[in-house]
Amino acid sequence: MSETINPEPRTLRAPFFVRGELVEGDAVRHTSRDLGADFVTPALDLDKVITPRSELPPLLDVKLSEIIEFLVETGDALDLDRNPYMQECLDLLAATNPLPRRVVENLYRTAPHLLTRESLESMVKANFANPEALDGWVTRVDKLGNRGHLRAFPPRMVHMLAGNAPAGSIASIAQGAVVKAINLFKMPSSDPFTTVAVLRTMADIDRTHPVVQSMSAIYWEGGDEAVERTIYRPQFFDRIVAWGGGPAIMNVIKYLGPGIQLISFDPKSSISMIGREVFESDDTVADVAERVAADTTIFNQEACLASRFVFIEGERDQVEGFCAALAERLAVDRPFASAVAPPLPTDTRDEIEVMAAMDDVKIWGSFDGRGLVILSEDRPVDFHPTNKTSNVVLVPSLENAVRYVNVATQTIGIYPWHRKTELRDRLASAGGQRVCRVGTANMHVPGGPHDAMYALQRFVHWMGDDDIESEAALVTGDSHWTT
Amino acid sequence: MASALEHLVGLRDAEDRFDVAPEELLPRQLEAVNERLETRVAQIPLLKNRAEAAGIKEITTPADLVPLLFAHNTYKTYSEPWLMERQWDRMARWLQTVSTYVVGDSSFADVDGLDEWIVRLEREGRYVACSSGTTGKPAMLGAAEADLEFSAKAGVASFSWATGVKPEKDRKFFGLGPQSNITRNNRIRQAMVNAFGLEGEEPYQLPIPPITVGSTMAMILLRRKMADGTARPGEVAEFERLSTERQASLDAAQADAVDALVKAREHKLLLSGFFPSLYPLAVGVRDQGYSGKDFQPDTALLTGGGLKGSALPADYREFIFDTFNLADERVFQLYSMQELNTPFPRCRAGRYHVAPWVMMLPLDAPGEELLDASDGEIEARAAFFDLSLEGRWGGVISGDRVTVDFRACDCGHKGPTIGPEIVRYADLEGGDKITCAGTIDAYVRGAA
Repeated sequence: MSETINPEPRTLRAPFFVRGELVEGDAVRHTSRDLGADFVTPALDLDKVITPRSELPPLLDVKLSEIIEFLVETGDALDLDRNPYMQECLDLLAATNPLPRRVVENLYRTAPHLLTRESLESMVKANFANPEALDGWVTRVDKLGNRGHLRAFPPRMVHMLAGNAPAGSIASIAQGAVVKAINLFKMPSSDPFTTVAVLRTMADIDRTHPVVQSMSAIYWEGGDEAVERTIYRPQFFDRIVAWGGGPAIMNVIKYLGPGIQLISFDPKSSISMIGREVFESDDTVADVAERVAADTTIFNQEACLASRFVFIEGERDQVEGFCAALAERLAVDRPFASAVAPPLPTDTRDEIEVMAAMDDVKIWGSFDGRGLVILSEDRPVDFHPTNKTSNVVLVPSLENAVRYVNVATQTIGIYPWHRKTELRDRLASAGGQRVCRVGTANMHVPGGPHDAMYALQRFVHWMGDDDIESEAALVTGDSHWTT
Repeated sequence: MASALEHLVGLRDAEDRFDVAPEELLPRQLEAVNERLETRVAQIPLLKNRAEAAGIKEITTPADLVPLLFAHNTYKTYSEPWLMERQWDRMARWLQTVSTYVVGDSSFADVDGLDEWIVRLEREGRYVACSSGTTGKPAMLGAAEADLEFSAKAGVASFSWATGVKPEKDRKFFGLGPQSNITRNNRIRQAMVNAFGLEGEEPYQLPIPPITVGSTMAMILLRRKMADGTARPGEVAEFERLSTERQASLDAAQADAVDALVKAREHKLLLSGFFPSLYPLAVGVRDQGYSGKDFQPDTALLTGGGLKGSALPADYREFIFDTFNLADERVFQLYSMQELNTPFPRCRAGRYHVAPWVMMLPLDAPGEELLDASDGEIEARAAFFDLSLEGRWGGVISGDRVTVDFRACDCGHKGPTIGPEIVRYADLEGGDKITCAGTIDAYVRGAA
């Protein structure tokens, strides 16, 4: 709901950032969807944030190495202890985002690692067979001497940033920069601040830098037809990148058509799979319980890679012991989780209480946000566990649990490690996207895919330029051609 | 002397039932709630657990009740796979956990399908109503014979209260929405027909096969199979075919209803249906060249709820009213829910009046704290304690955001009232949500 009124003194201000310029104003008042806090933004001038196609992308002739250089410098400048914009954001976010301040602070401290040279270079290498296509035209020659030139041409992109990961915009900014795109970041109502803070940091380094000149961050209420119907057109954008699902995506889908593509990192859930080997000693039980707890509690279980179900082999009494150990570890304070998270929604609580009253499940822990373990046999519970809740499902074998894996299953943390190798093909066939050692769901080897995609090569506009030297190619079909 | 409970529930047909000041009622209501608590704790396992966990033995203020209220989702806490796997005994145990039903020696092992399970329960005097809607898991609400009787009688009485139409058996009844085969709903309908229906004239019912609970559930289960990836393409195609067929038969039925309405225009009418069902009929009547002047001047309408997500033109209400010669004062619009026995009739001032045997409990949005409404109208999550309920616990937290006022209404009556703006919290989510965390439910097309 937006309306034009005068802001009260304590209202949060969310300025826009448009290609190097900070745009301040209080013309429009919005309400943040998660915590209901009000914030004001300037009026949105669509003419300013959309770059006509007659203008070449500012980064077109800037070498990738120079872009990476600038991003690395930005990473250094994001150091929370020295960066007033990010410090201010921490305070602002407390009013709009359900994540606790300390978790956001830790995110702000770790996210700049995405902007290290190593991380950025592996991302490029993993996505592009020949990264030189980003810097210029690369040529291949077929056996008849025909030359095909190719360029990974910069796209025009809208990034719909997710509300549940405040530092995610840093990754999106890096991606947008290395593909040299013209970028429009649509900020979420639970964090209309961080992206602008990062871009202001960049502008302080060099306001005229082509990376800065390629970036705008704005807010409108998701689903606002007046904005979305106007700008979601192939005349203005090639790609809409959406981090997540929910009503925001369903709104976007209406506007897709020839020339404008959605690259969607769909909504996901994650699980753990624990083999009977865990019961070899008390130490392994304690270690694996801690690892499952670490995977379960990421961002207080707001993240897609946070584990929600634990499929486990073993005898009932052994598994009950594991559940008790897990419940204890869920209650621990961690860099990316609170000892006491927001409590479970009452409807979920009711559902669990009814199941417990029927003796269908056994529970450990508490409903107050310290963490809850629900043990069920053979089958997971019907609801989506949240707020540090883990459904431990006793299965005859991990192979039996594969049927609970589907295209919405992102990360599968497995113990012991060798079972990962045994299971991974079947898990992929069921739709799963990543296996890892349990306890490391939030850690990645640089250069990996996300949600079973190498997205950057889908971002760019692959422009071809063909020099046909030998007409024979058309007759023999040696070079392929299409209608 | 009658107990507080008997006294309040006995007000069902009292002339002045919607004219009692809340502060006058409260002591009696609390006394009656304690009567209910004492018996129900022994009967409803979930309530027993709640009362023990909260350490509550007696209710001394309305706020004491809050931890004991059941969220409306409580009645959806059975597991869908049980239905697929035909675990009817387990379903019966579930029903026992959330209601006053006693499984006893009953066995449902040989039951063939949900509809038959419901029929078998009815033979034991236990009636299961199933909330409509094919998108989500439906609620299953167990009720006793007395609840059906109460709902039916309360429906007739509040219709008369709101419209001034007396039960004089002088109107042709038109059921213009799809009919369900839920016993509770049919009893309420039959009571209306008996009270107001013209003798010698068959009540009209939109001629489409009643939607059975089983068929509703079959669609929901198919959706589940589609999500699991276990539905075969043939099943999906069959589902698509049925949906198309249903729409076609609805179109034919509506044409039939238009003809019947035009034919019945010399009678006084009592129409029953939601606005989205009525609108196409009004269009059909106009297309045949008839309008308000052709109908009797005192057509009455029984309706409820909002537009249920359907898009009608802005002037839909005037258009329907003008077509059938309806006037506001003869429209019975009610606010209620399957979770309650009691309808809240809308008064001349456009507000819904809460009956004296129902405690209105305005809660904060999460449904955790009782709000203070002593300073006038407030916005709240609606929660109620319906003292008339025999088959379940009377305390329920709804999914609705309402405005509540405990002061006397502009229509002149005392007692708590609910304003006309009622929205489901679920619909307030808006289009703004974006998160990377989600489930396979987002990936199922069709079956919605």
